[in-house]
Parts: sequence; structure tokens; C-alpha cells
Amino acid sequence: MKITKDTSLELQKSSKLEIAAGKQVTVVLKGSGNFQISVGRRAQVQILEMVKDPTCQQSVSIALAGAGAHATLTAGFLGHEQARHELDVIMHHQARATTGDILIKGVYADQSTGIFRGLIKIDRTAQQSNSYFADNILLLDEGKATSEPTLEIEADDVKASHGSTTSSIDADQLFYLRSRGIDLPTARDMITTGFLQPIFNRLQAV
Amino acid sequence: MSDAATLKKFANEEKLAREKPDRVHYLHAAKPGLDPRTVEEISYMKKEPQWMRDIRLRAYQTFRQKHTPTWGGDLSEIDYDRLRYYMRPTDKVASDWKDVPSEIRQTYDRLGIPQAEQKYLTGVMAQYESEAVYHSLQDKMEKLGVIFTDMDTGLRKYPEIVKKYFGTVVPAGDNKFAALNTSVWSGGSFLYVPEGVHVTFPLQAYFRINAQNVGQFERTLIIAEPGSFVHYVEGCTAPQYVSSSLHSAVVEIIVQKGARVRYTTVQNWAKNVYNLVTKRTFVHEEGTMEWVDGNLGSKLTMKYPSVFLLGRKARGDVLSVAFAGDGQHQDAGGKAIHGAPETSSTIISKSISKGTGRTSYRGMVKVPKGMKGCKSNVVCDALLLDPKSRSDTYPTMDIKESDVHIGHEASVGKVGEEQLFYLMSRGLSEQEAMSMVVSGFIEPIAKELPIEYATELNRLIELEMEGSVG
Repeated sequence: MKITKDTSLELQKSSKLEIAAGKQVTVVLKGSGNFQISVGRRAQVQILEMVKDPTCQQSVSIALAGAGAHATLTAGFLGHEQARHELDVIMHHQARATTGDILIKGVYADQSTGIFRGLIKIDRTAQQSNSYFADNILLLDEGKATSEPTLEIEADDVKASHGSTTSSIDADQLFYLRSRGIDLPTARDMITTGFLQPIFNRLQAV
Repeated sequence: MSDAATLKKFANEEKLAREKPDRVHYLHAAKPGLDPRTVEEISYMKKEPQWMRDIRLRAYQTFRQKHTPTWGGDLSEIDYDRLRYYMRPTDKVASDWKDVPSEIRQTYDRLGIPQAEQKYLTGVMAQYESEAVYHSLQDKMEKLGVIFTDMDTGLRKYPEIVKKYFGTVVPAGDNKFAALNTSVWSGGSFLYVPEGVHVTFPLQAYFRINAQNVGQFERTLIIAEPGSFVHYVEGCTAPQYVSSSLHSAVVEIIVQKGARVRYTTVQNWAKNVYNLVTKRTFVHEEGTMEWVDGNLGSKLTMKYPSVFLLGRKARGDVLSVAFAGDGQHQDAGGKAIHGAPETSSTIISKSISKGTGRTSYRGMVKVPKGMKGCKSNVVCDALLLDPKSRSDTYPTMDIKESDVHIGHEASVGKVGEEQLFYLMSRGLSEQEAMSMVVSGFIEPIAKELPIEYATELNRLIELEMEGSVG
């Protein structure tokens, strides 16, 4: 599917998008699937999602094909009980001066599992590119997570970095809230919501 | 071949070798290629006990069954049938520097070993080809009960210790190259530190590959008993030669309760050497293991020093720096397996790619379920100096426990123009400015090295940086 005007759309199953030069597009992903998005010269795409399903298997491949293309991916994941989420993201910089920004935040409670693989690939033809990948995971109860952020950089005049954290709720934060009379489940909810707030903010803006 | 025939054959080879002038006389050089008979010959020449021979033969079968790894670097050019698997330049380990054959001494003089053997750097043990030939220890070390020797002597003199620990940390079945090493190992260091002993000076071992097509398969075993401390330093240089060579070492370290071991190594193999090394430590309760690892040479290095944290509050650190020049691929990293609660690990990796060089960070942090209160931090930074350079980062974090703090960051970039501009505005040439920025980049690791290694590292990087500008 070729997008030739500024728009906002929702993708529910595997699809291929091509964003024409100079267009600004917002894409909301729903559910499992294989999503391929190609971004043209000076086009901008904003990809958003909030996953709460029991299972979700996604592969998102973003090709920054035209010079000056820009893409952001903002994804929130909330896993309960036996939920299992798997996300593969590829941010492929193919042209000059392209920028990419990936932010993933996941909360895994009960026995749920999250698996995140993110590859930033910068071709030799993509000098002056800048790319960032961040994934922050909050584990509660018996939640599990695997993070594999990878970089493959073949151009030298670029910036590429990733940051990844996995942790549980800070005991001091819980203690503070409870000392103010908030019960444990509510305190946990407040902290979890706060953790995912940046994702909600971006989603609400759509 | 019967024993008598074998001996006769070796005697002939030795005679032939002696007739060649200006050459090291190899008393025994196994013919190229590997089969069970070569393995038995090596074991026979070393007069090893039957159990070690059995371990070697079993490992040989494992080596044949295992597949070459398909990830990492390109290993397709290694021709196992053209390598020699054993070589021994002198019949017995010399205890006095004067007993070391003169041509070997000359080579060491060029390496600067006597200078290195100073007040604090006493336990020098040098390795030439496949076996230690020179080895000196101060009396006080012996009084402390510290055993520091080459692995072959270790096996002869302390078979019960070797039998207890050999292959327990890195079993032959771990990977193809560990199996190869187990079947043909020769030389390496054997270090035993008794309970509560602090060795206050670093123990050094120099070794090098010298002849063409020689594979080096050292086997190092370090045991630090409860409450002890030791710093082991290993550095190597190798002269340049034409056809590809293979270096495949195994290092096993056991850190008992409350002990601390630091293992420092800087490798500068010739740029045609495959350096495929398995290094692993078991760290028990409250023990600390520190790997400090520098990779400058070789055609391809695949090396991931690992810490298995097996007791409560055990700690493991991996610091590594890699430099890949034209045609080199440094695939290095670190692994931390948190096998007990409240364990912590840090992995810091810095890499520099120049020309067509390629550096990869490959790492693993694993926290199984139930290992509460574990902490791990992984940082990898890469510098790219040329448009043709390449850098990859492949970390994996596998966390099955929620009560943990795991962090990872990585960044790849080039030397900042503002930094260069600032330094040049202060009167430095572009070349000097570039060198200074690169030195600063690796400084956090260089400062952890013993002073002469840090100097050597900086000098080597300066040399490599020459001609990198304009």
C-alpha cells in the first residue's frame, strides 16, 4: 500500500506500507503480524502501539529508504497471567541523514513473558544518520523478559546507541506510597501507570 | 607404530633439525594434521598418566563430532590438516635463565623480558612454542605455598589437584575449540593459591608463536582457595608470517569462597592468527573475579571471558578493549551467568575500528528464576575511524527473575569534530589530536592494566593510528 498524503491509520494484520516523499504519517499497530514500512525522502512516520493481549507476536521492519527520512516507534506492553509478547524491530537506515527513535516499555506481572529484539542497521550509504533504541522492562511477581538490542553499523559518521534496563519496583518507592496510607495493590498500580505514562501520552496525542 | 619405532623416528627428526643452522632445534615436531595417533603421540611424549590420555582421546572424538560455529567470524579458512599440533623446543623446563637456549634467549631479549622481571614482577614464566622453557619463582612464593608453573609440570607434580579440577569449568564438550584444546593441549600456566594467601605482585607469563603453521593450545588452570588473592598477567606478541595459524587456548579459573582473582591479558597476535579462546571462571560465595582483556592483534578473535556466579554475593567484572585495523575482526565480549542470589556483574567493552576493521561485541547476561537481588550492568562503546569500518553489538539479556536490576547501554559513533577542533585550536596536529581522543576513549580500561602494559597498549594504539588521518 502506498501512502501519498498526510494521514493517520490503523494496521490490524500483516501489511506493507510505502510512505511517499515528504509525507507525515501516524500508524497505530493492533495485534500480531508482520509489518513492513518503507519511508521515502524527507517523509516522517510515527508508529504507536499499546499491547495488552494475552499473546502478541510482531515483527516490525522499518526501512529509511530516502534521504532525511524519520521514524519513531513507541510501544507499550502490559502482560498479565500467562501472557506472552514477542517483538522484533528492525530500523534499517539505507539513506543519508535518516533518523530513528525506538522506545519500548514493558510491564510483566504474574507468569507473563516479554521478548524484545531490536536491530539498528546502518548501511554504508547512510552517513549522518542518528538512531536510538531504548527498552525498559518492569518485572513483577514471576514475570520474565529477554532483551536483545543489537547494532550493525557500517558507516562511520553516524550516531547509534541503545539502552536497556530490566528491574523490579524500587522498594523505597513502594514504602513511600504506603507510608502515605496507600495500600499495596494501589501503590503498585500507580507505579506501573507512571512507568507507562510516556507511552500513554504519545498515544493520546494521536 | 611401536614405541621403539616412534622413538627412532623422533631421534631422526631431531638429528635433521640439529643439522639446520640458525634454527631452533625442535626436539619433537608432530607431523601436520590431526588423528587419534597424533593425540596419543603427544600424550606419550609428555609421559602422561593414562587418565589424561583418555581425556585427550575422548575430546578428540568430541572435536570431530562438533560443528564449526556458524555465527561470529569467518572460520572457513582454517585447515586442520595443515596445522602442527605439538612442538617442543627444549627437552626440559629450565629453572635458571642461563640454561635457556641462546636463540630463545635472544628472542626474549627482543621482547624485553629481563626488563619486565623487576622487583614487583617476579614470577616470570616464558613460553616459547608449545612449552614453558624458562620459569622463575621467588623463594617467598614457595614459602607461601603458591604453585606457579607450566601446565605440563603441574600435571606431573600435582596430578591430584589437576585431576580434581581439569575440565570441570570448561568441559571438552563445551564447543569445538574447547574439544580441540583438550585433545592436544600443551603448556599454559598452572597456578594454585592456598587459603588466605595474598600474592602482592602480579604473576606474569609471556608466550609467543614462532614457527609457521604452529598451533598453540595452552591450557591454563587457576585455583584460588578461600580468602586468597592473585593477579595473573598474560601478554603475547607474535612475529609476522604468511599462512594462517590457529591459537585456541582454554583458561579455567576457580575462585573459592571470599577469594579474588584478577586475570589481565593483552593479545597482539600476528595479523594472520585465528585466536579462538574459551575463558571461564566459577566464582563461589563472596568471591570476586575480574577479567581485563585487550585484543589488538590476530586476523579473527572470538573470545568471551565468562563468569559463572555460583555463590551468594559473588561478583564478576569483565573489562575489555579491542582494536581492529585493516582486515581484522575482533569478535569479543563477556558473559555473566547469575547462578546464585545477590550476585553482581559489570561488563565494560570499548572497541575501535579503523580501515576495513570490524569489531563486534557479543555478550550474555542470564538470571534464572529465583536468583533474587542480582545486579548487572553492561556498557559497550564503539568508535569508528573510517567510512569502511564496521561495528556490531549483540548483547542478550535473559531475565527470568523479577527482583533484579539489569542495565545495558551501547553507543557507536566517530570522534567528535568539536573535540578535534578544540585540540587543534590548542596547537596539536590532527594526528596528535586523534591519538589523544582515542587514548582518552580507552583510558578507563588502560588504567586497570599494570603500568608497563598500559604503556605498551597506548604505544601500540599510537602505532596503529599512524597514517589514519589524511
